[in-house]
Amino acid sequence: MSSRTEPLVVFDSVDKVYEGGVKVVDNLNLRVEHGEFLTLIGPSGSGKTTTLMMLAGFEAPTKGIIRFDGAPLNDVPTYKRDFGIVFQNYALFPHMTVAENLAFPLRMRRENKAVIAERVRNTLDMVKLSALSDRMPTQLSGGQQQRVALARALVFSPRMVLMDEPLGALDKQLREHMQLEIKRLHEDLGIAMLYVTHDQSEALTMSDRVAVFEQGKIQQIGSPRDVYSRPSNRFVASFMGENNRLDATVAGISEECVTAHVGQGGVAVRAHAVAGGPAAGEQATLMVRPECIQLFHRDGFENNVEGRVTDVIYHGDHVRLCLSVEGIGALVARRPVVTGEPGFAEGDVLPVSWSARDMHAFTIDPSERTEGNA
Amino acid sequence: MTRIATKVFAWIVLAFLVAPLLAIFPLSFSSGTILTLPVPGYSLQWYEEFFLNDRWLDATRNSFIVGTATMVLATLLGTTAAYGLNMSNFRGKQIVLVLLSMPMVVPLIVTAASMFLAFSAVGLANTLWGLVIAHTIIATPYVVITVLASLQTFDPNLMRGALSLGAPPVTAFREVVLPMILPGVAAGAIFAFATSFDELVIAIFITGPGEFTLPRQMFAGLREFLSPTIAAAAVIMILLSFVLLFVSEAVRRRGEKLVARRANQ
Repeated sequence: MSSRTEPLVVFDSVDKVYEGGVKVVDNLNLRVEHGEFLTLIGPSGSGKTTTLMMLAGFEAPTKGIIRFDGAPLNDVPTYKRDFGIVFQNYALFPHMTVAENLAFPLRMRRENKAVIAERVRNTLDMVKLSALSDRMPTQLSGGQQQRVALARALVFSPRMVLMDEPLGALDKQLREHMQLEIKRLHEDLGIAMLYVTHDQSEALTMSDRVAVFEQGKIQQIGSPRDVYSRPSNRFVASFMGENNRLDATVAGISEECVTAHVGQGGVAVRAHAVAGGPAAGEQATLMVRPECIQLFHRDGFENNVEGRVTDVIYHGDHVRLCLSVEGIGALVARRPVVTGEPGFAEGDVLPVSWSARDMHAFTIDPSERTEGNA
Repeated sequence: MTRIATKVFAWIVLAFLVAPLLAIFPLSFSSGTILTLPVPGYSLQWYEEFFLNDRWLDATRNSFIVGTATMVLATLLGTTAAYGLNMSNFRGKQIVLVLLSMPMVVPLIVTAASMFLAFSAVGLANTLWGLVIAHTIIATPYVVITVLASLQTFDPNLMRGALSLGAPPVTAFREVVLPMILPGVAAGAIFAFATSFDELVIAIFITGPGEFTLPRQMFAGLREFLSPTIAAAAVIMILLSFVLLFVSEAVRRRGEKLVARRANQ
């Protein structure tokens, strides 16, 4: 182990260009800290899986250096990297039993039989699969196979664990259960995990940090709370969660507040100002999440209007209200269903308000602009 | 009526295919000294001749040596070639595939003649090793094809999984890839052996006396002394071919079961 000041993994200006000139990873600089759970999230083709594949050693960077614990990793073959990898389709060896699958990495490390048996047993206990050690993988359910794959990636005490959409093939309930189980293993073992997914709820529930990828670049990296509630650009805001989106023209900027007119000279609304945001007179996209829209007027909220309910959609634990607001247009609000509270009906006219801190102002299509510069 | 006609027709076709082959059986048990039907009486003399004559025994031994060596070489080359082709994607892959199957489509006499010329130049003509190399060239495509077929269902992530778990590439191939594609490899190996065991044209060009294989010895027997020993040899070859056929069928069924079991889950 080297000094703890150095991050565990460093991607230093890494490019990956595939045959045909498609640049899937573009000047990537990424650090994974010791013991952290870092999730790479993004749409397909955004470079998140390629990033994992380069760290795993299945793909070679076209340019740049990847370092692990301070040492360059580029020329180290996969089998010497000592990373536990969980694949989307599990990649369990179908001709070996569960126990033999787990013993494989230990056999490759020439451990003696007694050590192998003990570690296989302990690891199967850890994922609660001891009863199934003599089964063939094809005799297991999807969730069980997933846990075997996880156990096999952990049994040899790897230096790090990489997971490529490991829960993608499971149904929703099992997926949520496994999220908690993976999180528990991460906390118990204290091992660094790099996790690739396109499911935002997975990213938000499990991670210490989330890196949002698009077009081979990290658009934002930070804690789940940061990325969700303080998106740094329009892409991040719309990829993570739901949004009301308003086109507006910026009228003025004060300390932390942007004033903008919706559409052409519509109602003035206030939004949160950030560095690099739109300047006065520029076109902007304003975004506010449905759960941030309140249906009463509140002191201290900068935006107060009136809206007429055009539709009420029941979702069990919450309702979604489609509102029509004069001078703004359609807005969607999301309210929890609370017993004893009066419901909402179509045609109701309600006070509508939201804080400027919950409304983000972005320049028009930042991704297009970065494209233009590249 | 039509059903009976279909049955009769089927039997006629079968008889057409098999009857000439069956004619050799009574001939091999002939008590006469020339190859004619009907046989004057029955005897095992030609089998005795086969098993006591050094020429026939040497030819049999040579056939097994060449067949086994061809099988080993062609299986090794064909399996690695198929795996490489399956795992990679490069420009000209189709051309390589066509080139690999060339020996199957080029007329054997052309292959044989060119090999004779080439091998003479490097001193491989008239040697068993020359014949092994020539047979390996024509047998390898069969292995490539059977192994490529069994790789169709192979999940490349298994190889990646094995590498990530600390297996060097050769070990990973042996422990994970090979068990999965074994039926294809075994079928290819049997094809390779059979190809060499049956082959005459190249053997005519490349082997001299002393290196004759069984088909070459039979050919010599036909031309030089029309002895019914060649009928006995033919029957022995037919029986060996049957054994190979059954082995390859058993391998194929085992492979099918394996695939079915995987697919059922």
